[in-house]
Amino acid sequence: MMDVVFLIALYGLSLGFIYALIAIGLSLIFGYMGILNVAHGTFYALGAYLVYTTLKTTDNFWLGVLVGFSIVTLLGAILERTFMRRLYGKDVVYTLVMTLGLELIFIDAIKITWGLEPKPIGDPIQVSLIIPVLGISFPMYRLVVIFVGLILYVGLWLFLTRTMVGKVVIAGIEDLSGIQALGINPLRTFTLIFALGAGLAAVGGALYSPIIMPFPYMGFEIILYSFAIVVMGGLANLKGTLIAAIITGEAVAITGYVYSSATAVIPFIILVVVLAVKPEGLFGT
Amino acid sequence: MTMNFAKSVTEITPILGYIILLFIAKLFLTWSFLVDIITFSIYVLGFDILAGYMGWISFGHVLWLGTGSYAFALFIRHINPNPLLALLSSLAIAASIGFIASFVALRKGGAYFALINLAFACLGFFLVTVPFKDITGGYEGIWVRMEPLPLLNFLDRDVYYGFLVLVFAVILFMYKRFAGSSFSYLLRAIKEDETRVEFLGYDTFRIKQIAYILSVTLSALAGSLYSGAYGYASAVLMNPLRSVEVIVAALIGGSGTFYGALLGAFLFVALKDLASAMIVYWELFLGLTFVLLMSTIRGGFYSLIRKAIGGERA
Repeated sequence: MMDVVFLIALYGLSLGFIYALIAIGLSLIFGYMGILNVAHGTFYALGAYLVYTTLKTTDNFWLGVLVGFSIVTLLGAILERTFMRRLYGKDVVYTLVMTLGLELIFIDAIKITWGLEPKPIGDPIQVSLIIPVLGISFPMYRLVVIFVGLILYVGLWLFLTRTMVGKVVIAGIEDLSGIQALGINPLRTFTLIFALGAGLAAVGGALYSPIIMPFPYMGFEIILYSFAIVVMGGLANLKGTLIAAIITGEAVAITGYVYSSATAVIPFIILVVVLAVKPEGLFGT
Repeated sequence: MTMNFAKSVTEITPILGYIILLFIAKLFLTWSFLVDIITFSIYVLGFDILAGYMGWISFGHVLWLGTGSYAFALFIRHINPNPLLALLSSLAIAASIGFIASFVALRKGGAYFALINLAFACLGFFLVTVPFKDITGGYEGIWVRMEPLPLLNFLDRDVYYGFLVLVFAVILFMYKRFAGSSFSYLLRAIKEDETRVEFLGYDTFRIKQIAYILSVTLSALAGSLYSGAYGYASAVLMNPLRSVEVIVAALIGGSGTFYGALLGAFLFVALKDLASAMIVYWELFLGLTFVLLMSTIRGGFYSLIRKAIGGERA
């Protein structure tokens, strides 16, 4: 029994960090720029597919994660400069439809480039850790995922709270016209945050790729989860998003064990309960 | 008096024209295409009460389409095969569920409202496809055998079409009244600034609640009529990912305007019908349409037409 509980907790935690990588960017982009970015799912999917391609050519998984991060960050910057710029200050629903359009275009682009079938990616570490006392063995890779997720989260947190640019972003989330009144032009930080959010989502997809096989619609699936997590944690709240992501990861892992056909809906059940009690989300104001 | 009369004539003429057109169109276009246009139009009109007039966009309105569809089908299967009774009771059921849901759904606007509705839709879809699969038939759905009524034998496709167009006509007249009513202006005022409406002494929650219930009931009516037309109900109709369709249709036409909603519903159904038959990369095509639409004509096609004619805001 203990071993099952431990494994579920571990799996849930690793899932939670992957969700967090995707949801944090989504949350920042929404909080800072007012864009509800459906195309965020594409960044995640591209991260996974780029790992597949790199793995095929160089046989190096971690290089694939890096390639995914770099290319998608660049793509994010380009998209911000070309399409997102048109959406600032517009109603949320316009941002939704525009980014949905981009998402659909990217899904077909993925289908054309990589085909329809899911792409298998092997466990990059292939080491199992054994804890003799509990009699448990589990894949090392899950621990690595948690570790990478934690490092990226702390890095982002330090960037946002300790650097001047980060502080501008935090202030802009609070009051955008306020920082403009101080003579700060937020447009460049918009590009930065959008690109960074895209890159983080790509890392999330890359890390997830050995666990699920990349398939064209994977971005569409994750985006619903991510929206639920973002709202659950309180919009544009870094800590809230992380905790909501971990709660969701654990809930998905537990449900997967107890009643696996309900995994797709469990984030939304939690969301409804949270919002019924606290409409601004767990850590929202 | 004469002013009023003249006004109501100009209001009624286009609607009557559209209704007559729908009867004539039956000679040229397929039955299912027209049924889709009419039911989808009712759905868009329902959605637009919240989205267009009040400015609250739900990302999960398919739930109500599905609720109406299943309430209708299950009533006929298990309670009474009379289609008219089933239609009325499905509306009552949708309104009751909408009333209960409204207390959670309406607590906050903007992204919260959008996403809590998405959450509801995901919940509903889960209930239909997993725990109650035996009753609802899941993705395969269930067939409905309506009782043929003396004058209204709905098993006859032409009779059903006539009934559908009549119901549509009633809805259009009522909706036109709604669009010009002080209630709709209250909704528009809430869209502009809810706090001010509250300061004027209105109970804004009650107003929003009425709008929500109206919207979900109208969407449920679309679902029931759809189920009646095809004689079956299935979970495919209420897949949460399809919530996007109604948003897009409202935006293509021009959200918050009576004719815009109708035009949007027509264009969306026609586009989907034509494009999915001819274009392999339907998603790519749809995606490009959205991006172009959002970056060029943001008021929808109706605003474009209005500008071309040089008319005023409807």
